[in-house]
Amino acid sequence: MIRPALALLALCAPFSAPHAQPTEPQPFPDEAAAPPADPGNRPFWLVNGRGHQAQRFIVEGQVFAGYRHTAYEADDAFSEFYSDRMELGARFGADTGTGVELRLEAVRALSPRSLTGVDGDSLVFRARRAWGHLRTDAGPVALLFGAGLIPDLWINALEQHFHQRGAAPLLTERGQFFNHSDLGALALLNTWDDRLELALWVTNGEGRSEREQNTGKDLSLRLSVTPLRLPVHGAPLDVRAHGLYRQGSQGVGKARNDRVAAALTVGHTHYGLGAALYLADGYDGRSEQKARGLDLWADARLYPDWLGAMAHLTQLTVDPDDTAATTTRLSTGLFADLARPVPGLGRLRLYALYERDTVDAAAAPFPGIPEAANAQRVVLKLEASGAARFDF
Amino acid sequence: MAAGATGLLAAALLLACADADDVARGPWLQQVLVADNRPLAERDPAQTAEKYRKMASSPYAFFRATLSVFLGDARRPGPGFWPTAFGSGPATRVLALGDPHLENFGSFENGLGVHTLEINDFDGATFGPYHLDVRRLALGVHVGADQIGLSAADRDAAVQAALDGYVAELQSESAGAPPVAVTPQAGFGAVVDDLLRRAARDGEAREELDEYTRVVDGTRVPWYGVLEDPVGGYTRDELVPLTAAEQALLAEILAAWPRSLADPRRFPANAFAFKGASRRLGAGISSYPVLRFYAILEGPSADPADDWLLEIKELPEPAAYGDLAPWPQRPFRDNGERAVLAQRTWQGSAQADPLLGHVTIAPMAFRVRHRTKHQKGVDLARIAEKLAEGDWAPADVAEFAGVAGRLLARGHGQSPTLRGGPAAPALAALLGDGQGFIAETRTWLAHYDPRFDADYRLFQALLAEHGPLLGYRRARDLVGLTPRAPEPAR
Repeated sequence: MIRPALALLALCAPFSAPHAQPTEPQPFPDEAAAPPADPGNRPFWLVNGRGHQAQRFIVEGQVFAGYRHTAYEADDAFSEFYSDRMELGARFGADTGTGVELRLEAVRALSPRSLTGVDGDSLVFRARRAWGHLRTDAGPVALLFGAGLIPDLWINALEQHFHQRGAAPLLTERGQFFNHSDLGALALLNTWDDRLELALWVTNGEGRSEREQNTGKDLSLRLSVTPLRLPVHGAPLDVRAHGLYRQGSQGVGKARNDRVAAALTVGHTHYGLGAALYLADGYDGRSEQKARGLDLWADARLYPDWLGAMAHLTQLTVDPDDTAATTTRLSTGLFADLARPVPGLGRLRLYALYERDTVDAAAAPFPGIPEAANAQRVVLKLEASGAARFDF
Repeated sequence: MAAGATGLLAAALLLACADADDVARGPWLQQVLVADNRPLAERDPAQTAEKYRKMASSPYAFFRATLSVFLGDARRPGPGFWPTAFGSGPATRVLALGDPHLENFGSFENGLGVHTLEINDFDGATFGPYHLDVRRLALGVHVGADQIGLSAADRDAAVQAALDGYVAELQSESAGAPPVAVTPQAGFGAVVDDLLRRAARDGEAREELDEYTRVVDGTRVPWYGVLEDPVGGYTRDELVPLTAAEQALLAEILAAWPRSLADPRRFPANAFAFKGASRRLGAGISSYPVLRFYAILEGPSADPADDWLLEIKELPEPAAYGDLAPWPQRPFRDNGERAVLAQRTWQGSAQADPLLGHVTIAPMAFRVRHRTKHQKGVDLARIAEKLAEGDWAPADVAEFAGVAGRLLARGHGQSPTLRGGPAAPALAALLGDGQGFIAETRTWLAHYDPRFDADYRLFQALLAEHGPLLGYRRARDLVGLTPRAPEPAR
């Protein structure tokens, strides 16, 4: 009984064309043809055309949806079914490493302050990524150029070793430090067997939901180095260090929006570990505002085929000079990969989580009234993803 | 060319006077105001540019149109971010007014011939923390007192009176006393009595019909023209014919509006017969560019003397409460329902305006009300005039501020929290004797008011530097932003 239900959830089901080759069950959204021993979710734009001599068209989808019950310290409680990701994407990659990607996502029609949207507050689709890329491989060096609505190469770098994205995004994205995608262009150099990567990208700086507001452009530079790669349990374990600098601006007033960030991540097929620190000089549209963000995470597969445990701690301090202005979220729980036995599924994972939000006395949004924001939360969440691959 | 050079010179002079805080804050202030007015700037850039000019005309005009700046400062560390020792979970979930200030009070006729003073603007009402309403009122009294020329001591006395009134009313209600009813000649002071007296006189005379309509061949029709000459590059009071699209929109609104009345069956069907309409320009400050129609309806009988004049006002999105608004963040279906339900709740009855209703023609929402002179708003210009003539004293202003504080407390006390039940007991328990709360609010005001004053100067500098739409790139090239050619006053 459960298998038909799971198959229904599998977004690859509609794409069972005669020539479709079901993907192997792998973490999403990594390239279906990525080497099995690859310790992380290598982005498809680096593996397109490698290991196969065919043009490839992939259709993929992903849904994060669940139920959460939130109990506030102020003796309020609230429960809801919700979804924070519904995506449908298609990408084409040639054996030359050239490719295009169009990815759509569902968002609520209302802006945060609205009461009137598209037919109330409907889920509507918009572009999340829409870009093309060209890669040149010269021996051990890969050079990639891309343009369009491009992915943020900082978030992408961290998420390669962040296996719990289905539970919640990193603070680097949720806390307005970086936008998932933006209009712009990128250049990337990857070498030393994926141990050294230098990325440069220029964007409008307003994110995917806004057109350009000023004459300034955001310039971001990231360096990622993997000094340590060890074989552990038959698979490589990568220890990777990342550093980023961004000079940016936001809004009509061209408010400063600079970032410095550093992270250390560990990736393995069975483990994930990371610590990332972000410093904002100019935040939330205010040139004078400084902010500090911290992500700490760890996850491990207790039983590799199906059960794992995870923990994720985030800290956001909007005014680092004020020691009592920090908002903390601790999220911990178990996850189970339900669908590995079902062919054609990318992943069907269930999270059972406990979350605790702690707000310091002087932290937003209610300085002096932390009990209005302190909360505990129980979350049951499903991550479903799938892909269909067409080689020709 | 000369005007441009003058503007740049003014901007240079103003920026030269700006301190480092202003330089850092300028982009944020510019962005908040652009974002706040963006839908209107896209639809009607000329009217939005006039709104900015009107905002620049005085500190109080700037105050009235910058609730989004106030809330933005309250939400993030900075000048308005000030912890309260008098908060609680339930007290952050009160039906708050959003934008209480002295010119948002006005008269209503309660259906029994008695005029009362009530809060009359609920455009910003939503669930949120009560103490921000009190701080907003205190700031408004402070800025308003400066505007009408009170001395610093008299201004502080007015602020103190507003806060005293707030605390006294909550304490009184929590002790079991009935909520205050502000009626004529009942000891509420000269400002209140003057307003209620004029409302009774002009309302009875149906003055609004004489101002905005004419009777031609026994039928009432709209009048078009300028009632008050423009000043400072913005319209003050003008009526223009509706475009074809506006006529179609109005017909849709009027067809749906009766269903939202508190008691639609109390009126005969003929009362809703449409006789004509105009669009009002120049009203309000924050809502200056929104659609505002005056529609003539048949009223209770065929006699043109008892025709109804309705005001149909577009309600844009309220200023961003953001994470100040707790779950569920949208307890109202649309902005019209939000404003009308808040008004009925705060006024304790639907009798103050039986024609009050709301309509949504997605994505726009409208509030419909009786445009009667029984409903007359407090006007700071009149208070300044009376002070200058010696008819009133600063103590009269303080007395009015005290009444404003009491009505704000009454509204909070009567309002339900999101958890249900009136908020009065929870708030009274928090305030205790009230002195600590008053001191905290005054300390916040002393900290924030200099920022407000600097923001006003900064806004003028931004307007001079970035042009009539504050540098909003999309709309600035759409139309010439020359003010409408003034027509002769009647």
